[in-house]
Amino acid sequence: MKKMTTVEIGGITLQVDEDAFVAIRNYLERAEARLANNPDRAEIIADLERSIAEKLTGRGEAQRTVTSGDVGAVLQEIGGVDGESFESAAPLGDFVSTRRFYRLHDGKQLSGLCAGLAAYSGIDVAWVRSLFVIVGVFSGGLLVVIYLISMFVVPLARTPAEIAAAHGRAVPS
Amino acid sequence: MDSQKYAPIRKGLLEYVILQMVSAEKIYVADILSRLRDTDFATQEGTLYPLLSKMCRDETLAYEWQESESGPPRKYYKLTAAGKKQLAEFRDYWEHLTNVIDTLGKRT
Repeated sequence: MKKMTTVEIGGITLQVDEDAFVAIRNYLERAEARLANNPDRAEIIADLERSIAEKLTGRGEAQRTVTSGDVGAVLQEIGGVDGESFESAAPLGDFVSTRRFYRLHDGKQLSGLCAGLAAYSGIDVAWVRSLFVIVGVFSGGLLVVIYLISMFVVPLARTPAEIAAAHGRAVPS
Repeated sequence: MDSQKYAPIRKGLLEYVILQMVSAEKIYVADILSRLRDTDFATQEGTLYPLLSKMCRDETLAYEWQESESGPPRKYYKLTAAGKKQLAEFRDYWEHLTNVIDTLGKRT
């Protein structure tokens, strides 16, 4: 079950689900923060709102409820404000919940569990690994057991989409 | 070719590319994006809107509203007299720069 909301954006009334609403709001809040010192801020935000509305209505099925998937695709097309890229400053994971915990092949030492945890949490992998070793020593082997179990439970990110989700990024097109 | 290396140049030129495009006819953002899509100047709305607003503030561009059948009204951008002058100036300067680079490359 999902909560529905009616929003007015760019002068258009749209039926959106809660995730979509949050995604749009986060994007616009981020844009506003980014444009804090820009004298044209209000105008640019209004332009962005109209553009989001136009694209969402343009995706046909105007009667249909807008989902976070629709919003994700639209925001991806519009791009970050003022050169801000989704990869660096504003991972799409902040707008649409795509973040998942995977083991990562890139930068792995053993199973990629620490690398995956680092990507998931945004903490540097060196810290994650050090913490694992330290806690591992003091926990008397308990963490080692947990690690071994996790190795089998947590899937390895194989496809580009899974790797992107591991970092909480948008799926590369 | 390492095209990423030239990104700052393209970024700086985008304003003049837009002036050039608008000089031919009134256009709206989707037109600009679709025409730039397959060129070196491909960009996104997130980049374009701040630039267009700045150009309007500089009064090289102006816009008028046009109703759309399905979505919200659209801003159609057009060149102002100042914009026309700016574009002519830029083209002269560009030619000048190309000359300078050519000249510097020659043995004297």
